[in-house]
Amino acid sequence: MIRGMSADRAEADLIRAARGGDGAAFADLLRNEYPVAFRLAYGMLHDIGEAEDAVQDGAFNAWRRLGNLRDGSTLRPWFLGIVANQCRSVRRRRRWPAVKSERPEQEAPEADIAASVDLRRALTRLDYDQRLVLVLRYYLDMSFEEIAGTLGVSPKAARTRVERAVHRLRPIVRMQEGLS
Amino acid sequence: MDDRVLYERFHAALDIEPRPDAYDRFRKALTQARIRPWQRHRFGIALPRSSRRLIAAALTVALAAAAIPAFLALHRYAQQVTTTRKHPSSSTCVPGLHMVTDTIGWGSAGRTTDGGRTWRDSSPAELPNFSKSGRSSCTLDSNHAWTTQTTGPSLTQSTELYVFGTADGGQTWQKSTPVPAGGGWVSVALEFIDAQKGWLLTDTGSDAAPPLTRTLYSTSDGGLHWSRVASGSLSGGSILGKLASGCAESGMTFISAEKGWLTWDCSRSNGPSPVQSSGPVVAATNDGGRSWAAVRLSSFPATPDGSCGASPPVFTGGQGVIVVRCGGIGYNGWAGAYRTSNAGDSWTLGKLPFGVQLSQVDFVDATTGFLFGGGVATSDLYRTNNAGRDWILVKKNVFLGQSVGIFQFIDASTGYASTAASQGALLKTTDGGLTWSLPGSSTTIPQNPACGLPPNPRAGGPIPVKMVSPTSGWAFGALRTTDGGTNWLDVAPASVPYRSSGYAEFFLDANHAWVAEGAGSSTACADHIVTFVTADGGQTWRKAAPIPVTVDPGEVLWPLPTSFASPSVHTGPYLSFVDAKHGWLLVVSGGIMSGHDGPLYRTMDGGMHWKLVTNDPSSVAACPNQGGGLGPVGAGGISFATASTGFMQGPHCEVGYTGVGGPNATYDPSKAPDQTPQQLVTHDGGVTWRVQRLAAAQCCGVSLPVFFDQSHGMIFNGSANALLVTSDGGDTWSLRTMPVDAVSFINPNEGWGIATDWQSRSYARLFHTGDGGKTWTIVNARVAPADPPGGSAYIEGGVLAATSLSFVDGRNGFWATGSNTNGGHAQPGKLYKTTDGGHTWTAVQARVG
Repeated sequence: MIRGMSADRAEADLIRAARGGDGAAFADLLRNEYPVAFRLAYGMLHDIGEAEDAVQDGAFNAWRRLGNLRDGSTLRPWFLGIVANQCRSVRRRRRWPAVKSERPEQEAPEADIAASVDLRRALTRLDYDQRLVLVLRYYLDMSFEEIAGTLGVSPKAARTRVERAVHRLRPIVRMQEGLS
Repeated sequence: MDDRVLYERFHAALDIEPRPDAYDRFRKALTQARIRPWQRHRFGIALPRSSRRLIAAALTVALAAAAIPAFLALHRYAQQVTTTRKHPSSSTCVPGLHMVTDTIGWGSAGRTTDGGRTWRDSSPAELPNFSKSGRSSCTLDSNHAWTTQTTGPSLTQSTELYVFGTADGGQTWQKSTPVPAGGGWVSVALEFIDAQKGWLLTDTGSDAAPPLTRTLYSTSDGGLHWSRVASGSLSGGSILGKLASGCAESGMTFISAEKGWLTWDCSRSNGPSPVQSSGPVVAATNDGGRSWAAVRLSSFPATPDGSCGASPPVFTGGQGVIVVRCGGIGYNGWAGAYRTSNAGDSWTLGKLPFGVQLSQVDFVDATTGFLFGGGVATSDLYRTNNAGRDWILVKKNVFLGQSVGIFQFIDASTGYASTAASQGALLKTTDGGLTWSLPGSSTTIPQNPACGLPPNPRAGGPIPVKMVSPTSGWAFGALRTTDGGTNWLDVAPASVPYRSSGYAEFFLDANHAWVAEGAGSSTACADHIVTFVTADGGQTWRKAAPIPVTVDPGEVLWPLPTSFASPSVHTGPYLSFVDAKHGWLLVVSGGIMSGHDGPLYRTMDGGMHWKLVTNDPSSVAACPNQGGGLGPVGAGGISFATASTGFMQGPHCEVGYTGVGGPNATYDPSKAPDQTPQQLVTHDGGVTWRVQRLAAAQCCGVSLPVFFDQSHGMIFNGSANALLVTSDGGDTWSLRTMPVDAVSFINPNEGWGIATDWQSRSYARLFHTGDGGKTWTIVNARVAPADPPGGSAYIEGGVLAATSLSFVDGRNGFWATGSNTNGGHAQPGKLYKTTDGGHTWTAVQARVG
C-alpha cells in the first residue's frame, strides 16, 4: 500500500488506473515520492521553480512510460531516474549553471550560507553524472543499491561512481576553501 | 572530507522542503493532463536533438544502438501488448510497430531499414513553445508518414495543432497550416488513405469538465492544409460529438474517400472528463466524415462496469474485422472478433478463446490474425485463418515467460515482436511464430530470449577509436576505416549462437584484431567464451575453440556497459596482446560485488589456442582495515608491456563506513582502509602477480598502463588530472599533474591533452607537451564542435574518456565527443579530426556501412 494515499487504494490499482489515463491515480501514486523527487531536482538544479517544473515534467514522462515499470519493481528509483533525466534536459536547455547566493525560504547564519554556496559552486564544477551520484548519496541518503536502481547500473558501479565523484569534488572544495 | 562531513555539508547546502502547495499544484496538473501511457507521441523516443546527430558513431547505428532506446520507448507497452493494424491501402495510425516491408518499418524508436536491427530517430524538430498534448502519428509506406505537434503558452495548454508530413522517410518534414487546438488539452487521431487524402480528428476542451468538442478535418494535399468536415459536442452540432462521450479514441479508419469508421475504447478515459458511455464503440460514415452513425454490433455483452473498447477495423476489400473487448481495466473480461463481408453493413461475432486486451490481437488482413495471450506472461501464440471464427494454438510460451512488448505480423509467416528481454530489438519469425530470432543476420542465430540480448557495444557515447595511421583505424564494435574515419565498415565476426553480454576486443595494428564474446546455450545464459582472430583487417576471422566458464548470471546479464575507460568497454572479459602471437584473456568470473577476476588464459599462437595461466590472479589484492566486511572492488582490465610483464587494474578499497549507507552509516576513521590505488603486476607472463601501490595517484579513474617500448609507459589518472610515468618497465612510477581530462601520446615525450572549458562548457582546450607531460602549452583554446550536439554549444558531460583523443603522429589526431553517462543515457557526439597538430579541427562526416 502507498502510505498517505487519499483513498487507501492499493499501489497496483493505482498503477492500473494510471495506465488507463487516470491522472489523479498517478498523482496519488507519486505522493510519497514527490518530496524526494523535488529534493533531487533541487539538488541538481539549485532553483526551486525549475525543480518543481522538472518533477512535474518528469511525472508526465513517467506516466507515459508507465508500461516500463515492471510488476514488483520499486517505484522510487524508477521515478527518480526519470526525474534525474529531466533535470539533465533542463540543464541542457539552460546552458549556464544557476548558482544563487541566497536561499529565500530560510534564514541562516552568514557562515552557513557561504559554506553552502561554496558546495553548490563546487558541484557545478562537476559533470552532471558526478553531481547526480553525490546528490543521491549524500543529500538523499540513498544506499548504493538504491543509487544503482536509479542509475540503471550495478551496485558496484554505483559505489565506484560515488567514490570517483568524491575524489573529484574534494580538491575543488579545498581550492575554494583556500581562496575564501 | 570524510563521509559524515559530506552528509553534513550536502544537507547544510541543499536542505529544502517543497513549498506547501507544491504537491497540490503537481496533483492538479496531473489530474488535468490527458496522457495515455500506451499512446505513442512521435516516431522517435524523446531523445535530445543531439542524439539525432550521430557521431563518428554514426558508428552508433548498429544493433543495440537501437536496442536500449527502443526498449525504453517501446516497452511502455510491456504490460499491454500493442499491435498494429496493417492495411495495404491505408495508413497505420495506432501506436506500435509498422513494418512496411521485410526490412523497412516504423516504430516508436524511429525508422528501420534493416528489419529492426537498427532504428533511427526520424522525428521533425520540436516546435518552439511546444505543448504536450495532441501527439499522434501515422505511417503509410516506406516514405510517407505524418506526425502532429501542438504549441501553446504552457506545456499543458495547446492553442494550435500542426501536422508534419514526410515523403522521404523522415529526412525532411513539411509543416501544415495551424489547426485550432482549443486552448487546453487536445486529443488527436490521424488517418491517410494515400499520400494526399487524410483526416484529422480533434477532441478539445479547455477545462476538466465536459463537454468536449469533437471536430473532424480533412486534407487533400498530403496534410498541408486542413478543412473542417464536421464538429459537435454533447450539447450540439453533429452527432459526432455525442458518440462515446469521454471515451478514448482507439483509431480512425477510412477505406475510401467516403467510407470510414471511428472506434473508441470506453474502458479508458479521454482525458480529464469521465467516461460517460459504454458504447457505441464503433461509428461509421459513408460521406467522408460529414455524418456519422453508431455501428450496431450483435451480441454485445453487458459487463459489470459497462466498459467496452474496439480496435480499428482491418479491411481487405469488402471483408473486414473489428476486435472488441469488454471488462474494464485490470482483468481480461470478454473479447470477440466481429467480421463483415459486406463492407461493414452487418457484422457477425466470433468469440475469442479467452479474454484479452485489444492490443494482444493483430490481424494481418481481414481473415488472418494472431493473438498472444493465455499462458505464462501472455506469450502463448494463437492464429486464426477465418476472421476470428476459430483460433488455433501455434505455440505455447513462445518467449519463455517473457511478456511480449509489441508485435506485428506482415503476412501469415513473417512477424516481429519485442519482449521484455529483447531490450527493444525486434525478434523475427518467418514460420508463423514457431521460431524467433534476431533479424539482420544471414543465418539464423539461436537466441534465448529469457537470457536477454547482449549489450550494445556502440550504444552512444564517445566511441573508443584506435587510429593506427592517418587513414587506418578501428572503432568499438569492430568497425574499421581506411580513409581517415569517413567511412566505417562493420567487419565484426559473425555473432555466436546464444550470445550473452560479455564482450571484449583488442586492436593491435591495422590488420590484427581479436574479439571475445560470451555465449550460452538453450539451457544456460552464459557458459563459455568464444574468441576470434583476424590478420587481414577483419576480412576473415578465425574462431578458436570455446573456453568454458562459470559466470554469475547477475554479472553476465548486466545489460549496460559501465565504463569506457578501456577498449574493453564492458565489465569483462578483457583482452591484451603484445604482438601478433602473444596475448591474454581475463575472464570475469565473480559476481557483481566480488571484484575478483579470473581465470586468466594465455595464447602463444595468435589466439587459436588458449591455456589456463591462473584461476584467480587478483587474489593477492587485499584491503587492510576494510570496514563493513567489504572486500576490494573494481578489479579488471589487463595490459601487457612484454610477453612476460603485464599489469592488471587493481581493486580499490572502500571508505571506512559500516552499514549500507544513508544517514545512519557509521564512519570510523580508525578503520579506514588504505585507498591508495593499486595495480597488479606480473613478470612471468601472468602466472604470479603482486600488488603495486600507486602511491601518488588518487583512487579511481586510473587507466591501464600504455607502453611505448619495454621501458617507457604511462598511466592516466583521470580523477587527479595526473599522469604516472615509468622509464623502468613499470617498477616505479612518478606523478605528473596536468590540466587535461584526456590524453594521447605518440611516444614517451610527445602528447596532447584535451580539457573542458569549465567557464563556458562550450569549447574544449587542447594542450601539447613535448617533455612527457612535465609542461603543457595550449595549442587551441577553442576546439569548438563545428556543429555541436543539441544545437547549442555544449559539451555534454565534459571530456570523459581517456580514449576520446587519439593522435597517430605529430600532425594527425582524432577526437570523439559525446558522453558515456548512465549507461543507457549515453549521448552520441561526433568525430573530429586534425591534420595540423591540433591547431584546427574539422568534423568527420562518419558513415557506417
